[in-house]
Amino acid sequence: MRSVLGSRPWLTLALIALVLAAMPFVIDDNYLLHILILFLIFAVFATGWNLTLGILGQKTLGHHAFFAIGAYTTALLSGTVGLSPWLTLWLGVLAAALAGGLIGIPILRIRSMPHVAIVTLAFAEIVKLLLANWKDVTRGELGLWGIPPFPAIEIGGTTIRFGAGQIAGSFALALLAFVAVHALVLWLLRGRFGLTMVAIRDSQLAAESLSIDLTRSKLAAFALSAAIVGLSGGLYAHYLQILTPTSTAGPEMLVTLLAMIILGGVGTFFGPIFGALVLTALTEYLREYGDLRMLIYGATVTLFVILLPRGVAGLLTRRGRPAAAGDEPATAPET
Amino acid sequence: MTEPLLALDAIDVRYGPTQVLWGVTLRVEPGEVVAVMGPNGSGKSTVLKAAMGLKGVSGGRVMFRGEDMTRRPATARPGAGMSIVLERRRLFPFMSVRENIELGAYARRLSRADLARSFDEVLALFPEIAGHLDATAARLSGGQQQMVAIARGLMGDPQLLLMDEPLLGLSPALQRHVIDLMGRINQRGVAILFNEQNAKLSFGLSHRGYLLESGRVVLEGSGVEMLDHPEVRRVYLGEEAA
Amino acid sequence: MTIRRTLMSAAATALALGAGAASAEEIVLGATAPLTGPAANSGEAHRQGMELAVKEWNEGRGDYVNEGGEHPTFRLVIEDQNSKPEVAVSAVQRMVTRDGIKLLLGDTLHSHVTMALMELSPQFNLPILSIEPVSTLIADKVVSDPEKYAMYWKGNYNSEGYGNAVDQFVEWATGKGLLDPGEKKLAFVIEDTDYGHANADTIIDLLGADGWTHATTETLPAGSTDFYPVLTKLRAEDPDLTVSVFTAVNSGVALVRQMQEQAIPGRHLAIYYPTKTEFVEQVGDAAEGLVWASLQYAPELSEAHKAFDDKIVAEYGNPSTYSQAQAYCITMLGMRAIEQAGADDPKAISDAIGASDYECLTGRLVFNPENHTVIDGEGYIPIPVAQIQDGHNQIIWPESSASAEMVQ
Repeated sequence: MRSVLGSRPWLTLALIALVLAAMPFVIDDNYLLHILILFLIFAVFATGWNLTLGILGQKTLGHHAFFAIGAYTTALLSGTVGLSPWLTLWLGVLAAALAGGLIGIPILRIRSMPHVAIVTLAFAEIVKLLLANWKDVTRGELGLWGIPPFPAIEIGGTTIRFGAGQIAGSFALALLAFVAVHALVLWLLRGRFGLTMVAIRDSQLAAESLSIDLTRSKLAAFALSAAIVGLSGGLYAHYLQILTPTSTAGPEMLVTLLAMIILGGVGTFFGPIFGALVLTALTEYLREYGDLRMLIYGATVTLFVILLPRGVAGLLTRRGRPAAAGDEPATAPET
Repeated sequence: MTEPLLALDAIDVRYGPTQVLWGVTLRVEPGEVVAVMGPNGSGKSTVLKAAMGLKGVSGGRVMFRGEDMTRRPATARPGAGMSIVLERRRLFPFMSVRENIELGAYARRLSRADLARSFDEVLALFPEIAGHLDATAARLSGGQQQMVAIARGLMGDPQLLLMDEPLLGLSPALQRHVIDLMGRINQRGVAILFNEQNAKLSFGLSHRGYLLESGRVVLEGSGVEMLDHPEVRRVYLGEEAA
Repeated sequence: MTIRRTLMSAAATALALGAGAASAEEIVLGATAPLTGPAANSGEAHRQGMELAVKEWNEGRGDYVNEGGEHPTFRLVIEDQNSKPEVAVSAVQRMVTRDGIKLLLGDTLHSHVTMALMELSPQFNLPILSIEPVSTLIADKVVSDPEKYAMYWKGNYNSEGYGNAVDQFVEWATGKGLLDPGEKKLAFVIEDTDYGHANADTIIDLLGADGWTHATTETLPAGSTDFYPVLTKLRAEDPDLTVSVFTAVNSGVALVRQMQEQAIPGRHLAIYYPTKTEFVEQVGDAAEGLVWASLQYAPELSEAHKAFDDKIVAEYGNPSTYSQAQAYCITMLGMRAIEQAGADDPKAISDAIGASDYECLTGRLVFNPENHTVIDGEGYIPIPVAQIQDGHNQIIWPESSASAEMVQ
């Protein structure tokens, strides 16, 4: 699994977490922290998506739908129904996981990757259209407002507040989610689950012959992946406190997140994190360039893909990667 | 008469509208080495996939240790004592050699300690890969990869090892090595069902053999009988009729 | 190796983003406007109006509360919202955290964007003053939770303002025999925004009380230009009065042309889009006789408006519309509030806005303390109805300020 995880994944993850945790103490600039919060949320999103896209090798292109489902579920249940966001966040996660399992069922029957891509893409479009047209509830493209922030919590006499204006609390919460999700995923990937996923990706036939249950494993991966993406959607909803169908389940989200995963290194554990960092920062930085933005954005992504075809994370795992076909290493004697 | 380990009872197999196996009947007794020989496209690989459950049968029955496995999925086979070494090895290229081999025991759900013990036992047969356990599988040579594939098959602790074209594409020296390994595996009491295009290799190695043509069993007998059969000699060994 | 690289990339990102700190002397005003997207021409007009106000203020030519005193210097930061609420929300987060804005002028155009931005006022402890949005939903929101939205102020009247004007105008015109009510069948073609819906809902209520029946409301996305399917349906309804509401001038031009081509029966009353000067130019003869609301800004008819128009032409090289004037007035109102309250106490700024009584180009700006909305009507902000006659806008109602008679 080194090709997925790199050589010392726990150490690397701990160091990333440590560096991030130090950020609020090092940089005294709420704007930078705001961008880092967005990065943390999108890193969770990208990692969740990468589970099916990269690790399981299913070309699923509809995960922004789970982001929207997680976001809208918690937003509506807390904002409209009035439940506590601390509860509804998990209901959003659950809704996303169920949707993930549901879309997983037809996907199982399809072995052709282009078809998997089209079915999942269509699913996301359907979710977007439902959200856009169910105006009585979602307000459609006019935007769902009135999403409450997470209620403040009291720890040792200090009140921690969350939501758009509360940078410190929001950062802490996003970091907690980031670390928890990545620790969970790393733990799973280091175990039987990870081997199962990669085995299915590399050879479904071999995996099946070893008694790996393709159906159950894929459904589990879909549900977990969707749940994580749903969680990131919930965090996004209660942080930005405004949702529209296009901003959550629209094509721009698809392209940005795909670019994060590909640029970072598809199928690697740390790749999506790097991708999210680079592209969240780039997106913000390029705002000043107006209409040139998408041009520069596209050029940057293209450049990265050409220079680092295995993504940023490819730099970390270079040694673990197989050589090209026919490239026999000198150290391996022919027996 | 003891019950056969594996019994295919008049199985039919189709790929879509095309039928590729027609009433194939075949058995493997415990501890036996059995060869399925036939020309390209005769369906010999399909026989093994059907036995393993990787290809569903449209007619007939698949019995393993007296149990009807016909409708049970491939995932039920390893737990019952059947492993397969797939054609062209089908390793997991991005995993290490150790991970590839350990996955062979997937169905057994071993404890860490039992897994290590089993791993050491299997590895004893393959000294040539012991030094590459942490290498990524795709970096090994073809011969080494074949060893890993066989080791992975053995990790399931099978009573019957199916080997799909185990000698295909190997140098003569490597072929001898694999043949030698098959003998040693068999000595441990593991029955082997394998397929091979070369009649001499097939029937020279096996206790019994089957000749498959166009999806039908046309001949069966002990290895010696098969080698001596005039039809085999004429068509597959290229000898003039005596 | 791995770790160092991680650290370095994080540090590089931090550096790359660290640019752009504000000078201590200037008070920063933030604004969100549709600088790109379907309403970009409105956004551009707002930018001109706001920038002109700030420029005049800083150059000693502002409408100061205290003429002789010290006046603070302002800097204006405008962010594009692309007509999307979520883009506006992140833009405001950026302006608050990066630029330290003291007052948000937002949204300059959209009601639905304003609905989202209002939520940020308590979160950021930020006074917000919207410029053109009229939707009554905004005012209702303020009334529903006065504490939460205490620092939000609505610089334009409620959609009832239009509704009342349309209602009273229709009553007047039918009474005079200038408008044939027929069977009193009422239809709408509106953009699918809070603005469109709020106007339609109000007019349905008011005209409904006068015996009009609501035949149909066709909604299209803001910025639409293909109305043929909708018009086919509309013609089948055979309405006596069709009210259309669009903010994008392209939509208005396309709609008016296509209505003429399709020969839609009954009267057509347009809301908002004819305020754009380019509307009459682009639509040509098809708009002849079109009745619309509301001609609040008419350089052709008003000296004060003409003077403002000259300034816009001199500064930007294009004629002005209501949007420049409204943006100018509200920006000026905001700066006057900060002049009185100082920049350090958001609550004081908000209170000063609420206490404003400021006579500007578009009328006398006084806020209703209950719903934080400027008051419309007699003595405050007039909402006249206009008609396009010989390619020119004329005020036809109320009669007291009419520049021409309504023609049938």
